[in-house]
Amino acid sequence: MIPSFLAIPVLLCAAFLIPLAGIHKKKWVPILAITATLVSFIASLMTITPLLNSTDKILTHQMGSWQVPYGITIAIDQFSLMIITLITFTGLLAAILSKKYIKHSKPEYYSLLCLLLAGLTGMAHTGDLFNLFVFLEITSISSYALTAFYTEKKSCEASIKYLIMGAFATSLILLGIALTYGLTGTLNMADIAIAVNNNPSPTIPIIIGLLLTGLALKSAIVPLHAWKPDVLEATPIPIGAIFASASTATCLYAIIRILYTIFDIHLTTLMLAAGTITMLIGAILAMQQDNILRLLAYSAISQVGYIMIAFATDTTSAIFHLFNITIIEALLFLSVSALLINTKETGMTKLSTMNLNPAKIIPTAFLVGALSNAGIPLLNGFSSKWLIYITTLETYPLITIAAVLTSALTLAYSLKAYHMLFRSAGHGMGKGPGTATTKQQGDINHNTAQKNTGPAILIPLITLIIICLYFGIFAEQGELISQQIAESLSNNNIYIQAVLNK
Amino acid sequence: MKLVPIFGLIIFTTLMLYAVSDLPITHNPDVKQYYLQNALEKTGSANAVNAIVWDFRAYDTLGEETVLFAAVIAVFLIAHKKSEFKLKTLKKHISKTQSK
Amino acid sequence: MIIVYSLIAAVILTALGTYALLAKDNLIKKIIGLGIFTDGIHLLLISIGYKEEGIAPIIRDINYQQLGAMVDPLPQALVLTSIVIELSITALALVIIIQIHKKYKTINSKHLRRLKE
Repeated sequence: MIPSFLAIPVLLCAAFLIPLAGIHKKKWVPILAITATLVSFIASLMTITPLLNSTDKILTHQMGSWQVPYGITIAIDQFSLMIITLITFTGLLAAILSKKYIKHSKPEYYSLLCLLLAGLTGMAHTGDLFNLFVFLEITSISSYALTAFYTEKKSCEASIKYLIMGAFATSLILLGIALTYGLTGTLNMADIAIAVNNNPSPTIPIIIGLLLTGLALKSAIVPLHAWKPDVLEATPIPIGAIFASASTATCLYAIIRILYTIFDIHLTTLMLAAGTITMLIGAILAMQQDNILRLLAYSAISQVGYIMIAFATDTTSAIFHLFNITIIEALLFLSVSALLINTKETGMTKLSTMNLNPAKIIPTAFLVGALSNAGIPLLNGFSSKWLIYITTLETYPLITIAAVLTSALTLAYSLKAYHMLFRSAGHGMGKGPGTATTKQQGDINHNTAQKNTGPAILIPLITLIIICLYFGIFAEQGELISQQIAESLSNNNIYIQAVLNK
Repeated sequence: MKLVPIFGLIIFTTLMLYAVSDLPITHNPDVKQYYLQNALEKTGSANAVNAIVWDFRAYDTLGEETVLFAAVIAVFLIAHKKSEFKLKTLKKHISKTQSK
Repeated sequence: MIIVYSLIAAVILTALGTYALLAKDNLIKKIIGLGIFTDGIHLLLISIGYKEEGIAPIIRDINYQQLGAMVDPLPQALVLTSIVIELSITALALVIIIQIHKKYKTINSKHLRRLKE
């Protein structure tokens, strides 16, 4: 049995029960969401031992006990389990922080959050191509709705732009799935792999192009990245943390599953080109941003470029970097949401003059995240970036130069953001709350503001800082785990045999 | 007429026509045979499409209903703004009666 | 050769839907274009399962001789799911457009420029 599959029914039950609880007792709504995400995280941790003890290190399950290509298969290998653990972990932390961030405990917010996490988890579990599409749609609809959560001008505009682009992309994915079914006659991933291997056909490049275009738009690779800064500016910031970390990781997982396991194609040139352009454009545009959320969004886009370059050369460094980026983006966005609990203002020049009085943990968390993003030693970003530099230096030295240049730019804008948010003139950092010099419009009324300390903020930030430091200091552990995962991805026959013979 | 969309469309249409030309040749009818032969015995439904939607691939139907539920919650979230409307008309009414 | 006609019609619908999505400025027309695009994909899916002189996949009186002439039931199930998903997206899009009209007083996509670079 697969314990982590329990996460999907638990999250769906929570999503269906939260609006009911919202009518009767609003106090239960965040508690229900936090319980559901906690149960799903524990379930995903409990799957590690059964997975490593099983033969071929793959767990499968047939929904409804129908035979293999005729029903829907749930198939987890090591890469899927890493993604599932990341999704449930960031979901748990975002749910804990949302308890403090969202005033008045709106039940629709928590319900859509649980649906978003259920959709992402379902995408990572499945072994069937149309099932992947359906859960991608669950994720997308929840994302469109959560972008328009505040119903202000900029939220509605960001949401409609994201909706039109995202609906077009998922329709392209459906077109790819339709052509795949027309070609092979089955929808099971392992069965398609066998059929594609036996009958090469000129339609296959078109199918791969369609599927990759749709998924590339969902994970914000450069020609198709325009929705991401608008969405991350307009959505509530804990949800932005899930978009930047778990959602991107799952869409990259889907790309790798389709390319490596189903079609067995390694698109080296395309990934190198797309990755380099994404890295450079993301970093260059991030330098010009005044809004902290747009800066973090462009930073996330540029880090996805690193992952694409790494997949083109060596899969180990790519998987390690994917893990680290998920943790770092979650840390950055959650620390910014803890900072901006009392205000809606996100421009850095305005924020540097306001007296936000953050708790001492928040600047530390943001600094750890920003330095890790830039690749400073002793933090986890450095471990994976060092691997990427070493592996690309052997084969493509120009790409290494571009990567190092992007790291320098990342350091520059990260330190600028840290300085403007936490070390500027108007801040009462280290001083008491009454020492702000002039009372400006938009200053926070300290009598009615919430304090930004408490377990709802300390637990997520401290956990993420500990993980960043652990994988920075003990980098060999991370490298070994990524190597195991990369080996299981390199040969798709293991996956095919494990699914079709059970 | 806008040139860039039309040009892109011509390329798209050509590629798609090229893609669908090869379809009927390599299609494998195994899965279809299984569904048609076993729909009545194993699921008790004479309609094969019904057997697929509610029995063989019922997990997809669960996902589809979840999408519908998410859309309902989303519409309720975005369109439910009655209290704001009432406050504005009340303020307008007060300002009109005061200005008279 | 009816199957060729319906596949060509599906591709033409898809192309027309994409043109409406990209080239029109009004947001409602873009949503209509998205609907036409998705309908083209559904037509493509159904016509994949076509069989010449085929009958509907309903098994009456267990006559197994006719199984070979039945149309493929699986793409029809996929299209059922996809229609519901398209319906949800259209409903959500229309509600958001109503809110945009309330706030911006216009639904021309060129005028929605509040989020600058």
